[in-house]
Amino acid sequence: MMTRSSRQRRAAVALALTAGMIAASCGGNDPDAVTTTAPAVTTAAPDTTAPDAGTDTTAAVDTTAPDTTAAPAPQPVAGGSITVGLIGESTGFNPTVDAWADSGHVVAHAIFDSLAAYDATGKPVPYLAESITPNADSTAWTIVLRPGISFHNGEPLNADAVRANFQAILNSAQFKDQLALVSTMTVVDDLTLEVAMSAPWGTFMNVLTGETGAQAGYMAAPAMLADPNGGRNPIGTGPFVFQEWVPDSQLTVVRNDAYWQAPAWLDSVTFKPIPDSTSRKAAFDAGDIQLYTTGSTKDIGEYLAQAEAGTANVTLGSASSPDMVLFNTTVAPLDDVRVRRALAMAIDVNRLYEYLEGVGVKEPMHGPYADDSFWFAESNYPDFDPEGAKALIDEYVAEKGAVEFEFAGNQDPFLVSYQELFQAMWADIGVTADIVSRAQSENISAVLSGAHQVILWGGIGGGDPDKDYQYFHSGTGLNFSGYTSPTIDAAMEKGRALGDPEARKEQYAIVQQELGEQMPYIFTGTNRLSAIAAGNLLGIDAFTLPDGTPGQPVTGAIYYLKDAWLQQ
Amino acid sequence: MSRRILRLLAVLVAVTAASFSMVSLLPGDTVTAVLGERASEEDRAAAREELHLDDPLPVRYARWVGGAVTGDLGISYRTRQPVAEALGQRIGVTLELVLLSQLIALALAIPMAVLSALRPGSWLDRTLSGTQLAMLATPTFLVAIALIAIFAVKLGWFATTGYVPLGDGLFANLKSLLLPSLALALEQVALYARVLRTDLIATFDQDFIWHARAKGNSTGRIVLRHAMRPSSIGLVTLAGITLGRMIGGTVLVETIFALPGLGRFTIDAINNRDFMALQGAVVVMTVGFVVLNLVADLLHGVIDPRIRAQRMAAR
Repeated sequence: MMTRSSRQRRAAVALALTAGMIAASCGGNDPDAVTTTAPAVTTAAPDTTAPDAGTDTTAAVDTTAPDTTAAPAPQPVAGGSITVGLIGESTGFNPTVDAWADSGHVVAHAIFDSLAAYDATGKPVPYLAESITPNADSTAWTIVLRPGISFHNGEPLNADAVRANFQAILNSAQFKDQLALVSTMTVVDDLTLEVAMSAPWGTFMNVLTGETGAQAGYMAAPAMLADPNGGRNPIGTGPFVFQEWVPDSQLTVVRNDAYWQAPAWLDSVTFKPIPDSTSRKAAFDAGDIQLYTTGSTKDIGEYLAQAEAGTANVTLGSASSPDMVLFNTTVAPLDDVRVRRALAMAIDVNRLYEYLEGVGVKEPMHGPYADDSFWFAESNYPDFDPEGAKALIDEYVAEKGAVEFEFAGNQDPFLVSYQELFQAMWADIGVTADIVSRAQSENISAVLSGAHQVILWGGIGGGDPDKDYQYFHSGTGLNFSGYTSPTIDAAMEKGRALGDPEARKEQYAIVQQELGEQMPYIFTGTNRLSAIAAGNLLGIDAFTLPDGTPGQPVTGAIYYLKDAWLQQ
Repeated sequence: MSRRILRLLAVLVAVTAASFSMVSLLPGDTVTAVLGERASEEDRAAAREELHLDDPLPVRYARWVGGAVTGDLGISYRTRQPVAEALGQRIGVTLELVLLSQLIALALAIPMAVLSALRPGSWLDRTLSGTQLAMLATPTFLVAIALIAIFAVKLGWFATTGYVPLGDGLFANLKSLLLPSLALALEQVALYARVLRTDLIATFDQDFIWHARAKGNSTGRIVLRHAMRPSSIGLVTLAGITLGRMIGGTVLVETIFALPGLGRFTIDAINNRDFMALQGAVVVMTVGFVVLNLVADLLHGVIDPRIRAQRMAAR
């Protein structure tokens, strides 16, 4: 019988492997596909001005204007309605009851606000809350709310409402682990809630951002929480007010004119679940929907090209778990750092991107976090250097003999050909990689039992480094690379306990430097889901925080609609 | 009639009991689907108790039947919506889709079959047979994608996806269902045309047809007044079976065209181990299948007086 821990372990492995396989196959393999040789994307400031803020969303890739320096930025105008294509339907819209995939979060961000959100670099910052502050050792957090905010039904957003939301999460068997360390909640005054933890919890703000695994951050009206059918009549403080929901068909929201920030530009938004990806793209191409997200590098490349002509707008999302190769550092020849570094130095990532039809979309990685991530730190992560790689392999061969290993992946022919690219580049430096194609379940079993050598993998890196605690720390049972280090353990522990993002970043820099030196993984390219908008739908990339600074416009496949507007 | 109703009830009991047993054999855990992987053992145990998942299968089935006879099909584990209410929201879409597709299929198949049967072996017959073979061989999802690409994306005549309720206007409603209905219909066109063609050819060789010809009746009159009726029994039987089978069997088309129908509801229920919802869907499909076959059976008597006479004699 499978125990709970083994079940969770297997689920984590399955998730990681699936993420890797999906990421690697995002490029698609349609021989008739439109070329994805896209123009270089700009990282210039967006061409829209948010109603209440300045703009400099450097994290967003804005391809709206062919020449961002010459043309004056069009000014947003109020009015109009759009239809958004979602990947799937949700079971309901109560954040304390219904578990949402990205599609659910897109709707939720229209109706609700989260206490925190990500800034342009991916750092969590207060959003609906005015401040979220830890004490010295992160064992207590103080949440101070902005004054004068009401839910759509007129109830005030106060400390009692936040406590009611947290309590509903704590009462939920499904979600209570999100607030597992919360021990007591004290209403200090009308706008202040003090949350005491049973242990130091530096990453508390992460679970308040409103994304998968962070639903505790959404604030729903207490009356809605008390209503058994509240999930069918969601009431939040967000930029849009719920109007109607026909499950599996459509959900409509209308502008909240009493929004606590500047009101949204759009009059209304209709969300339509379109589960089939081909149909979703067709619906966008036909103009039936004006916005959707995709992870297909082929499609993103196609729309980036269209963006040049002004017929589409592409906002690249934050980098999620990158494409990667996992080494088992406990077995020869991968227990030698020279071999691991050489294998990384032999990979020309541009050849991989061409195969994945991701040129102009995928970007090289220099560690587990993308170069534009708040958490990124410089390290000795190697660049493409086949001569240097061959020298390292020659040195190893002279000492210990030939470098040969099994390189595992699943049985998808597209991925087998992808593996053959690695195989060829490694052969160029004198390494023999035998491709092993197995069912996913067999690969999972191999990794769980440590029987792997080299394998296409995924699910590590990309987001907040604390999510990688289970993979980098030595004591979790999920450190699949087998590379352990007291330095990394200590840094991951400190990073988890500290509340200040800058202090956490210092700890994670230590981790990245050691990983860049020891190379238990090769990170071969970014994965970004992207929001694809019609040519006249602007402002998806202009998501701004209440203080006017830019926010992260697309997190995973989740985006905000409060700053979106239709060019008339 | 009462015997038929009894038979319907027997089939319902057999199918729902079988589905109740079978879903319990499916891999996966309802509680995991409801609470997620990370729920504690205590919470999982509490959920199992609340959902009566630890009760013996016959007890659970008896409880479900007790509710079902009063119209209570239980609550969806996943959405917490009453299953009967959820089915009510979706069955109309699927019924409309299926009926429209059958109308299209018959409207195309009957002329094709008549034209073929009038000149069996001719170039027209061979051409139509080849076309029907292509229709049969082309997967429905491919037809659906091609229809979207041509008529929605390229020509812009229809919406790519989505359903417009009848309450928003008949024209808009039919427009939203035309492409999905056509995608479903094409395979049936081939089947119906092949069956009807064969029956018509056999009928055309009957004495009463030669008699009608000898009396100078036109071909059209012979087909419509004399040949169609006795040749339609196979077609009606096949249409009855197909219609019944299609209720709940439209998941592919409903997914591609994003229609909120019974097929998507069923597949979501299966994927999420929402057995209560699945059980409700099984009831609808079973009733639909049995009732439509009953209707087809009754129509046999209407179409062919000989069958009616045989039934009367049997009583």
